[in-house]
Amino acid sequence: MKKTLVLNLTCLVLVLFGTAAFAEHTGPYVGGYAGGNLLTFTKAYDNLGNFNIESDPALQYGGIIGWDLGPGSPVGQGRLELEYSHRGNKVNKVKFSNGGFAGEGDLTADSLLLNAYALSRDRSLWSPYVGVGLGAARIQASGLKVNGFPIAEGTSTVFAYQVGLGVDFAVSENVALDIGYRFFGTVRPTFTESNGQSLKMDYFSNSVLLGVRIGF
Amino acid sequence: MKFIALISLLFILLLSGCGKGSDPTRSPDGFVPVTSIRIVAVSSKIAAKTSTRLTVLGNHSGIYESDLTSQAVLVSDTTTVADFVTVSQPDRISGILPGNVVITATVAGLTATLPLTVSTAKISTLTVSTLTPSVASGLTSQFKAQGNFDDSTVQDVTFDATWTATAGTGNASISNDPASRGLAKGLAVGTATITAAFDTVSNSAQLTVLDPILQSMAVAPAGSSVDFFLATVPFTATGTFSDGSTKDITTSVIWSSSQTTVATIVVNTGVATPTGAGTTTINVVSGNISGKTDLTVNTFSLSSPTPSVTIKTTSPDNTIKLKVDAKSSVTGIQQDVTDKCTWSHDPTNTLIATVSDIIPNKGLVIAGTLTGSTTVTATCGGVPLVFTITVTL
Repeated sequence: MKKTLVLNLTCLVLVLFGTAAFAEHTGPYVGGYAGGNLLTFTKAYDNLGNFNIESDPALQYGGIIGWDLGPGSPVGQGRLELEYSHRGNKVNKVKFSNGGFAGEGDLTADSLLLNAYALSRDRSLWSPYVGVGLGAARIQASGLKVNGFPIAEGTSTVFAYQVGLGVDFAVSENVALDIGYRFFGTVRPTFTESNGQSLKMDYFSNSVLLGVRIGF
Repeated sequence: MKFIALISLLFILLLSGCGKGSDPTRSPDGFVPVTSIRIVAVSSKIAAKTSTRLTVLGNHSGIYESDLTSQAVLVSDTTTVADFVTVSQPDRISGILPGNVVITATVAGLTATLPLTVSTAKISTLTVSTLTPSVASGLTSQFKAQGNFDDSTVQDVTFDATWTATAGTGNASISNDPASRGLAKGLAVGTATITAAFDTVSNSAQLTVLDPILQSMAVAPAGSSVDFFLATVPFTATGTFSDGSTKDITTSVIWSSSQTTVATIVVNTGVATPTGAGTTTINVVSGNISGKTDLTVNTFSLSSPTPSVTIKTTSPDNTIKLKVDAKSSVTGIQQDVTDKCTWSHDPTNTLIATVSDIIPNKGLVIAGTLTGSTTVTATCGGVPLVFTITVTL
């Protein structure tokens, strides 16, 4: 029993920290990912001042289509990809100058970003990466309320950006797993308050994602 | 891709502090509707000839209350008994004659009422007090008058009293303006008497007026530029005091320079000495009052009429006094800065020649016992100038 455990652990270490037995992928790939995201620093602004909106962590998912830049690429190793992502967070609290109140409603962001990642590859199965993305996001505020009274509604399409870092794990020459962190932000979307005033809002998201990419 | 990596890391660094929250500035007013209002008074009974301010609170759907006094319209149903007669304070109700009234407040279609009694109570005694019995000349102290009435009620009559200030060994003024009634201001050092009179009663308290205190200071010359070769740059500090007076406080404050490689300053005189090109902030402080200004020392170049010299090992030709000039790149003026420089010789060639770094002999080269060549360096404001010294027999 003990021998089996040692053998299994040895195999796991060899797999995780061993050297690649296959060439790095170059060319097109598709992929998908899912993970958790948390909105932070969500401050809302209108003509009377500002207040904070707090929301629950939520599932984030998305898909990617891109191109692996392998060894010999004139711009270095990395990835260029188009990414669609969906985030939807439920509002749970609204903080005003005179205290916090029960909040409700949803803040949803659908984004389309062009990402560029720089990859550090060696003979290991693990390849750390870091990159940026630029694009647009459609942010929807639906049913935002404080203690049951409406705050704002609306949809706003705004410039969006992202920075990310993480590590790829090469399962085979054409299949890679990816665990990474993303910081996503947008220009402030504008919504309409129940009294007709406009309401602007910060939108910043932190995400931890697990993904898979399949190369061709 | 290295570029992408750099940009990404830069973004992460920048965004790591992005948007970190400040406290909200807005209330939920406007989102949560007001469903009712109420009038709040310190007391529902006031004596005739006295007054009190009312507060109108709005109930936001049972969730919270907010002060809506400024939005409220307040009226009395019997204005001969009590009325809102103070134009600058429309929420202050004044008792005119004994009787009962009903006060009505209206905010956005919502109303509330408050019964108020104007009593027949007469004042018995008056107490005059202040939380700050001593103030610097030019500063203020809020006095309060508290009336004790014959029905055992106690009422703040600060607004309803008439205030006077009587000069003693010092002097003060006191306001009867509705916006600042009972606010005394120290005018001259010493003690003044502050008196409040209400109806048939009056009482007094003392106000001690102290020496004026420093409120701010200005440093001159402001934002000046000077050449490196200037021996000194005198700064002055002018203080503005609580009584509005101004005084030269140059020698009673503490001076400092943020960049001593640009200029040093004498801590108790404000006399600065340029030490190199650049900009420094001249700071001055006295207690918790401070001031500052920038001093720029113009860039300059060094030169010498004798960058290479030959001397002999024997007297009288075994010494030479070197000279350094600094030329300002801003004003174009050139001056001798020999004595502002630090002089040094090659420590491995001291048997060939040495140089003095002590005034008045700065730059004086003395030949040693050996012949040969060596160097001497004058460092002026951080800028070096190297001389070649040749010693012959």
